[in-house]
Amino acid sequence: MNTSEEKTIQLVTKALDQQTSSIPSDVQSRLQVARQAALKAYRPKESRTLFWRLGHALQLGDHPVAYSASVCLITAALALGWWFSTAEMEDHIDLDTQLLTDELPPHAYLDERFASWLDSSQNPS
Amino acid sequence: MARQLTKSVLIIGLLTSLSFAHAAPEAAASWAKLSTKQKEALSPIEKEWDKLNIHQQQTLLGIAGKYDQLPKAQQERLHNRLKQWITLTPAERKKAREQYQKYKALPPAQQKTITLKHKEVIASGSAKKVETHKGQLASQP
Repeated sequence: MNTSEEKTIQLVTKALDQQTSSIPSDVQSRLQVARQAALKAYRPKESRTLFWRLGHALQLGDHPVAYSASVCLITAALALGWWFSTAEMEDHIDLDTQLLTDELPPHAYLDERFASWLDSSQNPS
Repeated sequence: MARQLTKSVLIIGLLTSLSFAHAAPEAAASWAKLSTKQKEALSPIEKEWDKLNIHQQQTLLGIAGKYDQLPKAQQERLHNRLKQWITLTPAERKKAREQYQKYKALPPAQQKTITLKHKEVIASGSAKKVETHKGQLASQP
């Protein structure tokens, strides 16, 4: 709501307060009916959780499973992250064991000449 | 609204921390706390063990877990190389892993050629060192 709207509301409220007595009774009753209808139609803005928003983003909207689906999705993402980091560690262990027990010592793989032999073997001209 | 948002953030935070707490390596293990088998496998780096970071320790404990299954010759190789391996920087270890994988992806004949070339270079390097040493000794009065 901007400043000009607020100003207008204040002016209308003031005018109504001052002049209700001068308003004809049928207008007063119509105003009352309109007010009741407005109050009936008014609903405070629904508070929406982060899970609801995630569910909504997945096109689940107000569906009852939206909340659970979002929780499942987040849990699955975290489980996947855990699984990847564990798998990466296992890969390192396997690779390091092979590297450290193979015929050539580790420093051989850091040798520039080794890299050039490797390149020439991979791309024979 | 703010309370519910906070609640959601707390739940996600809790799930995240639980997940990472499980995924993250356990606290650094002191040498004294290692099992007899682990100590045997990692004996060459006993003095350096407590200075290693948690990630390195976890990887080495994983390697130690495979030690028993290795043939005697490979166990010896592992022992001879562990000390050198832990002195490498993470970038060097990464490069070594990458080069090793490339090397292993080659056909066995090409692997053998490279291995022989490397051995020749090492042998000629050692021979040069011996000659230099002999020369230094001969020049001494």
